[in-house]
Amino acid sequence: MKTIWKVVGLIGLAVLTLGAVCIVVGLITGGSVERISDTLFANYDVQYYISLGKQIISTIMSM
Amino acid sequence: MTHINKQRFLTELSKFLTFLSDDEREQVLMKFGEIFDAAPSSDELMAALVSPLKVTVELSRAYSKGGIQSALERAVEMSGVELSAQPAAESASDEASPAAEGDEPAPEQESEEAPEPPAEEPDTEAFADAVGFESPARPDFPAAQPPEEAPPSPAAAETDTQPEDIYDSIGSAVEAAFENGTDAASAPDVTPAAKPEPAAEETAEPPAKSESAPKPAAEKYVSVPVPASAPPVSDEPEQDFEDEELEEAPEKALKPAARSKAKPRARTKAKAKPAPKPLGKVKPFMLVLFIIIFVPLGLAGIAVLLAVTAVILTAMISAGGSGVFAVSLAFSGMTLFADIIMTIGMALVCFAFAVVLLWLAVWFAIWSIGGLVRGIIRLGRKWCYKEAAE
Repeated sequence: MKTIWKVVGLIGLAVLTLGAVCIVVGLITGGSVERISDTLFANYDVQYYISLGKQIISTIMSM
Repeated sequence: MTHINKQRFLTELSKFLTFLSDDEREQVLMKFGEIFDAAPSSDELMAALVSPLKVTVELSRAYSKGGIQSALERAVEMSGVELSAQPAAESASDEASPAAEGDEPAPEQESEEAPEPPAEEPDTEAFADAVGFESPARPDFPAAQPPEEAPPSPAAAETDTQPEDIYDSIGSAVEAAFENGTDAASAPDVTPAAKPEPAAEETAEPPAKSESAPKPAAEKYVSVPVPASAPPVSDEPEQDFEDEELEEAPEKALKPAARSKAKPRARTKAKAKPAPKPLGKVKPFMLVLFIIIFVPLGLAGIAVLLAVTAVILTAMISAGGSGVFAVSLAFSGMTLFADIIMTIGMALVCFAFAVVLLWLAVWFAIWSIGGLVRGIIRLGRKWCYKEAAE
């Protein structure tokens, strides 16, 4: 179990580090989170899912 | 011939001396080298030493009693060669007649071996067992050699050294094993013809015997069968050879014995595992109560733990799905490389979380649900069964 934890942790850490490096490099080279979110909202109907989630949460809270 | 004998003897002896350290082995081999150099006749020396195996036995005894010095002294004793008086001995041997040469080592050997045979016989058998050697002539001892057939004669030296024949044959068996892959040319020597001549013939012609004495000695060294004139095995209980000396004996010779010994030990070790505690008498009321209470509780607990596992798995699926979604987004609507690489970075972060959460869910399920079930079973044993009477 410990060995597997080590292996999984190592893999997770490596991928996380790689992702973080990618994000930092993207930010350095002129990337913009705002532009990415605009693209996301433009290509996918994310607003629908957000409102759906809000409804579910309010229903649960009202119970 | 002398050189070959010396070389072979030292080689085999070095193989047997595994109970010594490297330095000590070197010392012993050097000592034997000196002995061989100082010996007037190598054949006589070989007759006195009999075989590397016997020398090993004697050396191991001496070594266990008094260390390396004692072993070296014993080596010199066994050889019957006086190392300090080498030049004089050489000149004397040059001047002496061949008959005198032939007769010299026999009494010495006899005087050395005389007090030991009772102790050596069991050793011999133990070694014979250790090397997996079976003496074909052993069951026939009484019939083959009745006591009255061996009249006292000058050739008694040879008949008195009969215990050595067993060593000889054991040594030869080991030697034959060594030679199998290396020295096929010496195979013809390993024949029953190497048996010593009958004592009657030797008494009839003492001078001829003294001349031919070294030859049988050299042949004795490579003879395989145990002569029928070997001494009867004593009925005394065998001394515990294995415990005392078998551990010191050569590794090669002891390999089969060691294997046969080690296996049962391993088996007993495996059997020595703590047996599961026997269940005592069941308490029916407690058992029913336990089943009524703990089975539903256990099931509820398992359900809760499964729910927690499911939540972790959901988080994992979400993270993984987000990663896949991010990758697809990066290659679908992005125009700038910086945005693409940032999105891929986010996807990688999501994948990293997904991997960790996946293993977390598996580990949690195994650890928590398994632990809960084991705990319930242990509690049930404790509550529902009386302790077994010892």
